[in-house]
Amino acid sequence: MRRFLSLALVAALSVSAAACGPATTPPPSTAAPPPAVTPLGDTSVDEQAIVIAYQALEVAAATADTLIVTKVITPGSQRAIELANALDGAKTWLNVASAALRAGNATNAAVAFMQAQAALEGAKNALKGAER
Amino acid sequence: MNFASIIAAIADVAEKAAPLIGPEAAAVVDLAESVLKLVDTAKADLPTTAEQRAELSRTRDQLEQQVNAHVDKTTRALRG
Repeated sequence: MRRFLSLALVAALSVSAAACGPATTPPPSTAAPPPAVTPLGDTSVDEQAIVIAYQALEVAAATADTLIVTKVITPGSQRAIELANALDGAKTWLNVASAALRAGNATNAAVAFMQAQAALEGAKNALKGAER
Repeated sequence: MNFASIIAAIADVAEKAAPLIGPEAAAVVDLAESVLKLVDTAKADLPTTAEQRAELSRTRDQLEQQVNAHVDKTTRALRG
């Protein structure tokens, strides 16, 4: 995703430009390190990223279906509830990211996308736990 | 891309379940592989024309409905 890299570069350059402010800018304190660039500064979302994320969620749901049918995971068990919550969370955050992108709000889309990614990571962990 | 590693890990789980159920788990593995190919394609080709972007938007809209319905069905089954 070259566009991601480009936008991340633009964000990084913006931060660098801000650091090269006018002479009236107070000097950085030596007591504390400068604030780190937040992960959001490196994140942007486009249609392709959303499509891939929905596909990933589809794979996770299909895997969960398989584990239910094979009785590897028991419906109603703690692991199953964890997995359901993670899948629900990923779905909800992806829908929010998709709606924000449609509305042209890149910042909200990026935040929601990161949340969706975290939820899907949780689903992956729950799936891996279920196979044990 | 982080999603690629997530998909690969999920595919790994499905692959381990495959001997238990056969074609259904194999279909999941195939699906995961196709998504991984999609990730590679996305890395290589960005949609540049308005037509390509419109096609991607349509795909996204269709997927959104399809995946929402699938996840709702799966989570209902998981909650028992």
